[in-house]
Amino acid sequence: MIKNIIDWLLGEKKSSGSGDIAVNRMKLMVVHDRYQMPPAIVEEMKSELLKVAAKYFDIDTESAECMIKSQGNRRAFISATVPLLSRGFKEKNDNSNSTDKSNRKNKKDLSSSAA
Amino acid sequence: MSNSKVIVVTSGKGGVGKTTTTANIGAALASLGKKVCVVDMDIGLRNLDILMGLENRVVYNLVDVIEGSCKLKQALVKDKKVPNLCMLAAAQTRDKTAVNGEQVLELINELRTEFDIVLVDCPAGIESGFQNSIVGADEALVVVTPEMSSVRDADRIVGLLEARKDQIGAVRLIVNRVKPGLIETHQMMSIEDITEILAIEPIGIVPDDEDVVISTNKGEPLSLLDTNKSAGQAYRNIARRLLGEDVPFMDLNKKVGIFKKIKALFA
Repeated sequence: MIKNIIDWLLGEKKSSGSGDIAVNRMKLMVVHDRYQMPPAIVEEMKSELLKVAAKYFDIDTESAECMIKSQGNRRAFISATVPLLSRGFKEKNDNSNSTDKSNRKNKKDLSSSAA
Repeated sequence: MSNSKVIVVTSGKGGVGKTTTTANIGAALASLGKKVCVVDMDIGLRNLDILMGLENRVVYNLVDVIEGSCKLKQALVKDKKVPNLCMLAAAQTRDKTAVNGEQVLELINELRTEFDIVLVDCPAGIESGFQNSIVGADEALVVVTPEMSSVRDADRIVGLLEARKDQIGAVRLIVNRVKPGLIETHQMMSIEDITEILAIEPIGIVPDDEDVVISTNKGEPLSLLDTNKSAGQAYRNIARRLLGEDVPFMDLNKKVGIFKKIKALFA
């Protein structure tokens, strides 16, 4: 509380002001509007992308992110961040320990159910 | 007279200040010596005449000219104060279906022969009224306020204008009703944020100014008043930039001076 007041008096930059929230919402909204693409379609694409990635890597489906981002000049790109769980290709990890395996199984289930 | 320029003032969303912008920039351009005509294309919802203080002088309107009920010169209303400023009013009792694009284009081309600059006040929306307003435009000014709904609608408009790049050479942004104090505390989208999202160049930043209400009540565009006060000055600057002058943007943070002084005490 006191820190907030001091921050306010010192004019510390708050990154959680409603203006910043608006900017983040705007950036997403504008891209979806431009490409006439409902957010649900991005979710669908995400689950399909993850399925492909999961063929080759052990991936962390839970924290994977996929979105359409805008860039200057009214262009946009698909931005996907898919964390990998273990080293190497998936085939080579087949002999890993059982917890890894069950993890992987869960992820597979997740990605297929999301589709 | 091929040097004449037709500039449409548009926004998508209603109530963001298109008409105020048209009146003020029109008046400022005229007082800089240009022959200017401001045209109200909001057929059925005429308002530009009020802001110019000319509502009692309107005899004929745009639809009358298009339908041939009068000559263009009969419909042009001369401004009370600025000699080379004229206004063409919209019809109040008709609707947007009263005119089509071809007819408007013909009218605009006739205006080109009489004026250096024709400023077209576009109605809100993206339907026929918008299409008719941009039909003869060489340039566009997109008015936006720092609100999400306004920015979203402006983005739609920018998309539609950029689809006609061959005709509309420049699409530039006016950020209206800016509240520097709110931007300072991160409670309002900044100018940089808005221009980044819309990806077009700003030509003007107009601070929120209570004097706009007063000048509207009086029917005197703020840009004509001889003050250095915020919004009027901002409109005059836009007019000069439209004429190709390189005018730096105003420092809007002057108003938060007291805040800064307190901040300085702590630093």
